[in-house]
Amino acid sequence: MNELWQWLVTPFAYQFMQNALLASLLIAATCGIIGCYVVLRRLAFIGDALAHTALPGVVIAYMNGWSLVGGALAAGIMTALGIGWMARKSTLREDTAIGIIFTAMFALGILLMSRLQSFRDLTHILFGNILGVRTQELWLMTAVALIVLIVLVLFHKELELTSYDSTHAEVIGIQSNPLRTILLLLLAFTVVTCIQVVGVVLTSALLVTPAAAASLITSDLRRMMVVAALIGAGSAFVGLLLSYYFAVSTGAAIVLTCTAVFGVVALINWGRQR
Amino acid sequence: MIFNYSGRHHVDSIPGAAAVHIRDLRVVYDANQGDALKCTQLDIPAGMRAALIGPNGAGKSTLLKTLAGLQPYTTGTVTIYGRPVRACHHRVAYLPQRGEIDWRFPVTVRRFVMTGRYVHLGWFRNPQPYDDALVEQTLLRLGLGGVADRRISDLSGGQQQRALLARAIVQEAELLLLDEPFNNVDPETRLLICTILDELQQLGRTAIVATHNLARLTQDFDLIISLQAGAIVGQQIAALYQPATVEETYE
Repeated sequence: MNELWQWLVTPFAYQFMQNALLASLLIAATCGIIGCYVVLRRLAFIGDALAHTALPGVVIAYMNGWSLVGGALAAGIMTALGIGWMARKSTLREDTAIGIIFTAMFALGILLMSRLQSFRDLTHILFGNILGVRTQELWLMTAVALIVLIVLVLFHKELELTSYDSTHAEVIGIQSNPLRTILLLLLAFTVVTCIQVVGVVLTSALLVTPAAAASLITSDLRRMMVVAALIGAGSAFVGLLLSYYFAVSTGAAIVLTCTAVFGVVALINWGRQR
Repeated sequence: MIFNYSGRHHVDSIPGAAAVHIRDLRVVYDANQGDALKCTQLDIPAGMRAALIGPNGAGKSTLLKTLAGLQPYTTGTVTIYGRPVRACHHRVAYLPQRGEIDWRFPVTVRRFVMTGRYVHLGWFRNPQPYDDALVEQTLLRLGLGGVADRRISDLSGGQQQRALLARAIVQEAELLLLDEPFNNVDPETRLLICTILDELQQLGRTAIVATHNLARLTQDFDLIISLQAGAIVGQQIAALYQPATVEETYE
């Protein structure tokens, strides 16, 4: 028993591991909560697009010596507003329009990256750098988590209703479009901080997998959000430990732990239905 | 303190005004095509149960959506209890066709019906004891007491339709717009819906019901409005209704 405790605690004697733990718990929980809307409103593709379009924002910020998170945030907000606008105006299907724009933005990011001499700092953006989180960034992540949580609580009943019956919402005077834009902005905030943990490429896994597992467990949105947050945070903790002891990539370890949880839940669910 | 969704407060209806009053209405979806709906004159007095009949594409849904404020119209005047469409969201309840709702969303039947109360709650306010009691009572009245805590995806077609009606009832609206409430429902549910429309009429409410189901029209409605190709081709008091018109409508 004592040995197990030692095994769990030892890695967190280091300051950088403590920061990494706090950051990944916070972000995985936030991703799990907002991920419920991503799963139920079928926004997985948009989440992915938000992560990818952050890249040129980060590279431009890096080139000018601005804050990298600030650059990612600016790019994320622009993308969220752009997607909201496109949904209303475009004659193309929304996913097609997003597909065109997000691959172009990502390519622009890579193009700019290839012109820089120092490539190393930016690979963190692609694959995450949770072990390099500084205390200052931790505060920003806490702020993002709080903003997301407060807005989701305040607008819960309207966001829930517009997710499955926007017609009734409109009849009683709730406009779906501004609510959708609010949701996309929150998603942009979450994604930008999430990039720090697992990187651009794996961000949508943290949004989708815990929420998908939770959707198999419960039939109430609020409970689903709590369960998804717990699955996300639990996987972050386990993934961090695994990456410490087996010296593997933290982001990948966290994502694969989420996937394993989903696999177990899906298997139990399948067994129960038979 | 109530923060209304529309930013507008309750506007009283004009005493003695018709529930629905339409003059020279034109609805156009696509400028290249003709009018989706054209209606020179339609008056439905308060307290009536009106049936909208006609083949698919006749404009029944378009008319209901226009009255609900969901469908913008090109020209004309439409008033509800003497006020413009959407002047007061409390006054109009709309029951959509079942396909417009994502039934797989994780929400219980009780919570789904509660969304009918949202217009009275507004932003930031949760249901009060009165709302809970009204929802509970309506669930029982519609025979949904046993499935109140089940997910809406578990409901049968008839139960889904009853849940939609329950939501429209708890809204306590003066005008109910029902789009195909009899579609794919069992005879029991149909009877229950008609009984409830009758009860609502006793309370002075108005109902406009689009339907394909032509059985018992004269018993269950007071006014029968036939549409064809986006135009109203007949308005009759149900008691004087000529069945021949129905065959004409469906030729």
